[in-house]
Amino acid sequence: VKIEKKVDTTNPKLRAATTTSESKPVEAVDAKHDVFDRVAAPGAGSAGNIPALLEKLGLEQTTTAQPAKVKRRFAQNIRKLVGGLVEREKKFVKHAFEAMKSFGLATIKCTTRADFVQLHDFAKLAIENGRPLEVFSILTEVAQFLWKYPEEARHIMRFVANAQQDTWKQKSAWMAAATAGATSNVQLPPANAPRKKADVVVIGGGLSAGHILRNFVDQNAGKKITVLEKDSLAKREHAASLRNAGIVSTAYDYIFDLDEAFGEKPIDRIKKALDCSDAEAKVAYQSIHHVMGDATNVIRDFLRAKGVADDAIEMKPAGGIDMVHDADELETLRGYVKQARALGFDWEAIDAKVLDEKYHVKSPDVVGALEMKDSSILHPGKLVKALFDYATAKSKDVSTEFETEVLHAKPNEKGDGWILVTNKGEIEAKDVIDAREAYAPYRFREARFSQIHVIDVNGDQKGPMGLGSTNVCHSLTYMRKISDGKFLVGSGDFPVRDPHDTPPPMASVALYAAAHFKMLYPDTPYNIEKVWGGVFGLSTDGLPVSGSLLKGWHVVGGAGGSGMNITPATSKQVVDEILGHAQTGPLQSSASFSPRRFFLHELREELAKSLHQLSAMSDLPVEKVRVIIGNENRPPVIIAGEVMCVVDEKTLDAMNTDAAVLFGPRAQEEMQAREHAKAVWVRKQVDDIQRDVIDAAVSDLLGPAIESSTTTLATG
Amino acid sequence: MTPAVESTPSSDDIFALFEWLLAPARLALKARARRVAFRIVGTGHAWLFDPAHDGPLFRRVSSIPNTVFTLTCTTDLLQRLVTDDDFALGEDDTASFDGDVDDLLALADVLDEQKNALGIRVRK
Repeated sequence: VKIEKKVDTTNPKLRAATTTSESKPVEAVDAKHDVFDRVAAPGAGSAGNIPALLEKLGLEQTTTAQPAKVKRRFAQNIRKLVGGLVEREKKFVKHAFEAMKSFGLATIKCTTRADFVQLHDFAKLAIENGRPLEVFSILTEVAQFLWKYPEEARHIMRFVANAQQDTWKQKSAWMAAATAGATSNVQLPPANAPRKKADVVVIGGGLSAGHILRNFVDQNAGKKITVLEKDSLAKREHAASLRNAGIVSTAYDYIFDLDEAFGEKPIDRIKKALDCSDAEAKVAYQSIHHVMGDATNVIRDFLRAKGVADDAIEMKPAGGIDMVHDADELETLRGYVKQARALGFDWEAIDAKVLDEKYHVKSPDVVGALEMKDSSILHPGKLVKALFDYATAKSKDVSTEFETEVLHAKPNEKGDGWILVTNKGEIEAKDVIDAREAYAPYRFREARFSQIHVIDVNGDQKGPMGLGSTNVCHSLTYMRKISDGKFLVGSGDFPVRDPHDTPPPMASVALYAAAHFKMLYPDTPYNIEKVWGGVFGLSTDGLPVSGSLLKGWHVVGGAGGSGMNITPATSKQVVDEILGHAQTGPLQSSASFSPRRFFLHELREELAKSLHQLSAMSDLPVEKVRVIIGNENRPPVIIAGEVMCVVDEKTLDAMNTDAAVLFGPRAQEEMQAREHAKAVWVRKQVDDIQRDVIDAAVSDLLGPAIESSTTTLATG
Repeated sequence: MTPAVESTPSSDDIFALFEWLLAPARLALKARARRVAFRIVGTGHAWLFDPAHDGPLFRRVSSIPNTVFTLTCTTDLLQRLVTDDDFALGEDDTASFDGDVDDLLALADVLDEQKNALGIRVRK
């Protein structure tokens, strides 16, 4: 990418470099509007009317000469205006640069608009030269919006700047319904408070917990279940379940991109991630499809079981559309739709005409759309509340402890359950389900930040209200109606190291969202009125997580941006596992999606690496090393070039380094012990294999002689 | 975002007033000032201040040459330039520019210099 223009960051003047083209358009003067032509025009500010105009403006009266005071004031005010404009420009550039920086893309320091033009040009060149498209297209779209709509951009940046103090203080639109009637109930327990007990403790009081409770009570499990939620009921500020967009989309935003959702690619990916056979990977793949496509039905079934209408959670199964930007993309989409329909999805590819007629979306940027008739929208706050209300009404054994944060865990004295140490004392349970998702402490957990904006728009059917309750995806943005005249536009997918340390709402994301709204609805006036951010969790391999990490310690998560779809399935899966019928779960058997897979992968890599010291196995790929959980430890075997080890649950749990973080003050000690146990286990496997390899070599070498002597003996 | 537009008095009135205020400095403006365009928000109108033009200094134009400093603002803001003693560009003011602000400052310079050159003093 060649950048020819130099950036002059030392130029003290704010000279806007909007004149990248040297061509000078012909100036079209409308002579009829010269001021002196309007002398006779009634009401016009001709020389003859100046006294009347001065009077109208409350200025000094004069006859012939210009009043000195007015002129002096005029000159002073021009200077003040220039001063104000320059200050505003500095602020604009500063905010815009910060906005760009939050995308991590601003490679040069921007001090003037000219710098932004250069960034914009750079992004364009990068795209034209086949450089990383996605990030540069974001930059380009934001930059274009800045140039094209500077006033709107300024208002948006100012709004977001005012909202930047604290991510969590920005309440989502769903909070009020979820926290209605709540009061704070902070009560520290006495120092000698007895340890509480439950059969099952669920950590985290979000959507997963709600589905877990529902499944337990629906199956009449008769278990005492306690949910521990670190926020107060009145705040519930961290729950991703209450900070999302409430879209139940069947598109594969996070689990699979659309271009890798069908065919062999996704099955290969699952096979590698879950370390399973082709057949198992295929079943797992189909089960994910089923979970994604069936989510609306699962939620509606729950509502029907409760005997209430969809309206209780504002569920509107009006489908969704994902915009397509060029003809080739639309053609490719038609191929995907065929495959999706074969898997049971209710999808169509529609062209611009249908898009306009049916959804009132008409944009030069869009040539058609993927229509997902099986998508829906709902009110996530009402859904979470409905699930909790349902479970607590149906079972007296279900309770939620708010403002209770789990600090660390330890095995109980008998070794058949867990003790959770919280800020309110200890609680013991046979089974623990960690439903903290993005806030869980594991290495296989990733957290990403997304940002949502509510805008005030026209209520007429020409603009976004014409969509009705159909949700929209447009590149990295998602949109839906909230109520008449209120529209939600969200975007962002920023990795955050610590979910508690999230960025404040970012102007860059707001600008990107605005740019995409503008592409679809260029003529719709809007006013940004609310912004909030939130984190969502996903796993390092991008697939759902549901199952045991250690004996009695279960984890649900990895929902990515598809929490509305995935949580009903992962939650049912883990409940089924605890109740002893894991195979009935909606995902493939829980072992496949269990969080143990991450440590098993680590173990296989360690083993493969150690086996490389043997000349016979110097090129052994990790895919050829299998570690299977069995009832007892068995020596490794080599079958068809694959090394297969069997390890029992207890041995595996003692090595599992992913779990060390649960032990709080003892985490470091646990990690060392687990690393040591892992090293000993790996050494033993290598020694066993080495012995087998030597035995086999000796056998090969001595085989003919032994055979020969045996023959001799037989003959003799 | 849809900024509010106030249109009393009209932009015709405002530019007529500007014309009247700057007319005596025509020679100085011709020598020192450069063209400045004003894009009026909400009206679709644009005005060009052209010191080299033999006719009026301010003309309504249907397009703005891309090398000319352009101020985009409301009529209300232009009005306040001549009426407000405590003028300040507010957060809610719709105003943006494109080009070298020195071109706009030249108008203020000429207005000030004209006063000094003529030696006008206020006598009590």
